[in-house]
Amino acid sequence: MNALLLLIPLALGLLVIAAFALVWAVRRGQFDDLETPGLEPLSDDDEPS
Amino acid sequence: MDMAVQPLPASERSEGCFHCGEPLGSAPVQLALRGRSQDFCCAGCAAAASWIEAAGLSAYYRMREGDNGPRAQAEDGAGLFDRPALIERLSRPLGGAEAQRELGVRVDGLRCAACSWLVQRVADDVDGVDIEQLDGLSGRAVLRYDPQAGSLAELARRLTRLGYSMSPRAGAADQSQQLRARRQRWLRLAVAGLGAMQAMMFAWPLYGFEGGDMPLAVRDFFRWVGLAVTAPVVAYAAWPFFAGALQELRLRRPGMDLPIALAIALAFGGSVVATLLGSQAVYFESVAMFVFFLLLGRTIESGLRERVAARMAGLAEQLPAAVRRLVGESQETVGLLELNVGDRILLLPGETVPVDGELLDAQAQVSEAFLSGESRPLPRRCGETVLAGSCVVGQPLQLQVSAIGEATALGELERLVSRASQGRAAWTRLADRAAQAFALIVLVAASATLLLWAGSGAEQALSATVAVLAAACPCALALALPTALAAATRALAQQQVLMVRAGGLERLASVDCVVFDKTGTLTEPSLQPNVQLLDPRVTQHQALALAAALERCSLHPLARAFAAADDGRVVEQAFEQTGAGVQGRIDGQDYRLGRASYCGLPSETDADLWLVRGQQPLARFSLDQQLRADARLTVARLRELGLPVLLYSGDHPDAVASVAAQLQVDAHAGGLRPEDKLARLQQLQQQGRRVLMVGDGMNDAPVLAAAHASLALAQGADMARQQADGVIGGGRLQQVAEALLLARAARRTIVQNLLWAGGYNLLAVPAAALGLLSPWAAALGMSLSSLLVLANAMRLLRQPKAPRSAIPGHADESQAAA
Repeated sequence: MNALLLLIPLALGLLVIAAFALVWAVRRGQFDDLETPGLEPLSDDDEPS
Repeated sequence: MDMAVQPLPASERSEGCFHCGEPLGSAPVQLALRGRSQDFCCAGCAAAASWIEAAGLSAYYRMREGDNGPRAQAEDGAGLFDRPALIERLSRPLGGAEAQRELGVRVDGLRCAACSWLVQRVADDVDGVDIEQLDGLSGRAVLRYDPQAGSLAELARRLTRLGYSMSPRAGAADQSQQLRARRQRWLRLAVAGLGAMQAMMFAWPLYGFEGGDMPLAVRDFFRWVGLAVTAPVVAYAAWPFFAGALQELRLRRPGMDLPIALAIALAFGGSVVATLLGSQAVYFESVAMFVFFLLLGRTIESGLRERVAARMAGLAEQLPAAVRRLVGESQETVGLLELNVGDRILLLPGETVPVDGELLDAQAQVSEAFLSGESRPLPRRCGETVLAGSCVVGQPLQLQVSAIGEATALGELERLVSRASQGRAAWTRLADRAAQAFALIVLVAASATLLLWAGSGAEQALSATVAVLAAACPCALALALPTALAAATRALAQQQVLMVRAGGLERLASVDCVVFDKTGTLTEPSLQPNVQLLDPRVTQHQALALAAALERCSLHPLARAFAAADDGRVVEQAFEQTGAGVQGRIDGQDYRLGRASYCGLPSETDADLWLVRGQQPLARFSLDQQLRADARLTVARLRELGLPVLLYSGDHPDAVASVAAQLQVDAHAGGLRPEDKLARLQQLQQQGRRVLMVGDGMNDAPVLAAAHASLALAQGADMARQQADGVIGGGRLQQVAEALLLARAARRTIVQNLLWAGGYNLLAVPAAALGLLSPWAAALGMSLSSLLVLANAMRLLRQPKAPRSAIPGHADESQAAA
């Protein structure tokens, strides 16, 4: 049972890290556009004339 | 056309160095790039530019264009309503005795049908301002107000106090606001998801606790950890529900959020108390899960809401907020809102045209892909109209602004589409009222449950009450109708079918007979005229150019056949006699173009067009009408669906009969005048037929308007001037069948959704009240029910499967009606 006293705070610590990582990702705009990035490889770089 | 304003020479168009944008010195360096001479401030910049071009990277200049120009700042939405001059420019006057005006606005913060209803009621309390329509899904609204009496600013302030925000809708959409709301949604969802996972993990050991082999201290430890991970979920992620509930309380109008907030607060509060006292009922994992699934449903719905705005309706909001206005020889960047009709503006390649305007340059190319789906660049000549939303291709161009904002063809179309998605107006009001009544019933049921179980102890009572509140949340009921209609409208828009009249989708779903027009509908609108010259002094080129000039004034689909030969000569006193021909004065001489009888010639055959100068015949044009490539397939598919297909046309009966034979329609009639078509249509409808009329929209407007449902094939600006329920862009006739199938699928989905949501609540609420459902099961069931309704509606968005192979001559049991 003593392992719990170590593992659970550890789990909670990881949770906090995960939460901050998510906040960081959202703030950086990672979730702003979920559609076009998938299509980007298909677009040509050439200028249409 | 005599244009007073001459296009600027290319070299004067750029104000600064082509490469760095710095002001040019007294002796700018010139260099030819991509066939045009550009000015540079120094040799270094010129060298850099030529290197960039040599490396094939000249797209750099085009991409840079989007960011480096000064852009008008998006203004605080509500504050804008305090500037009457600005609002006046954004709005459009309504015809009629009163000085009423119409203004498009955007209301942010709408979460459900109940919110839309609330906003409507708030507007009712403000004098002189009415909400003409409000689309709860997209947040678009149209206000009707009286500039003398009404205070738009007052309405904006009241809505702000309630937690909504209203901003005028024009080119300058407040995108950052939308982005902030979106990011916050994601954060709340993420917090709820992480919290729910952890809470479930820490709740798991407690499930085994009933066996009793866990020390009390360990049990309490797990409970405290559960409390710790659930607290942020309740405090942060669930905040929108509490805010919504507070609003509903403040206005004494219970809606969807109140039962949700009560369930969360009761379950979480009860669990905290139980943790403190060491008693039984602890539901942290249920609370976290409930919040997570509710947010998931809302996130999906919001995503759909954002994307549902029809392709072009969305585009109207993405028009550039700033434009380059030309004043004399110089240019200045002004906000779209500050632009006036008559201003000259300059647009660069790749830019989106923000207004309707007349072209001042001799020639230009634009892409109208947004309107017609036709991505091939279209040539425009001096004096012709370039539509807002078009994309400039190839060369910079100058426009004289002719319409701004709502007055543009795009704005008009957007208004039509937005009004049409209100087709559900009557339905939605019903759904609103049902949701509201339901919320009240839920509150009563929850109170009754609380009383019923009060004798069995606080834990039992709390558990049952929370279960009732969670199970009975009317989310699924409130989502059932609008999501299905929104998804169907969007799916249709993806297929280039825009529903522009209210209720069109519902009517389309119930048609049992299809009537086609021929010219321009089943046949290609563009034709190659075959010329037979009757006067040796006239060349073929001249004859075609004269005809083209005359036909410019005509609405008839055949008129477009000559457009290619148009060399821009001026026609005066042009007049079209519908169904006969056009006349006009060119270079001081009278010309007529039309059927032989119209031109005063002995009539031989009805199919050809004649060109006469005075009494002198100059040329005779015969037009071969090509069937559209997909005409046969479309007719076959419609017949396969069990719909009789009829063909009514104003053309010569022989021509109609030949087309009818090729397409194997059930019945046909030719030589009909518009009023004959109308009479036949009414006859069909008296026989109890619900007729879908498909036409080209301009010629047969009365027939389209009279039919049960109608679709028009149209292009460009014509799309905004239709009498039909729906407009098919890009000339894709086969979309008639697709639209029909989608409308039917939408109707099916709505019925399924309503049945499911109603049935689920009918079963779950009594079960919860009797204590048969534990809170977590009720929460899960409610969430899944909402998600199921959403998912069912989203099915409409899937691309249709490839058309089933149509069997020509497929035996058809249904009878032709005429």
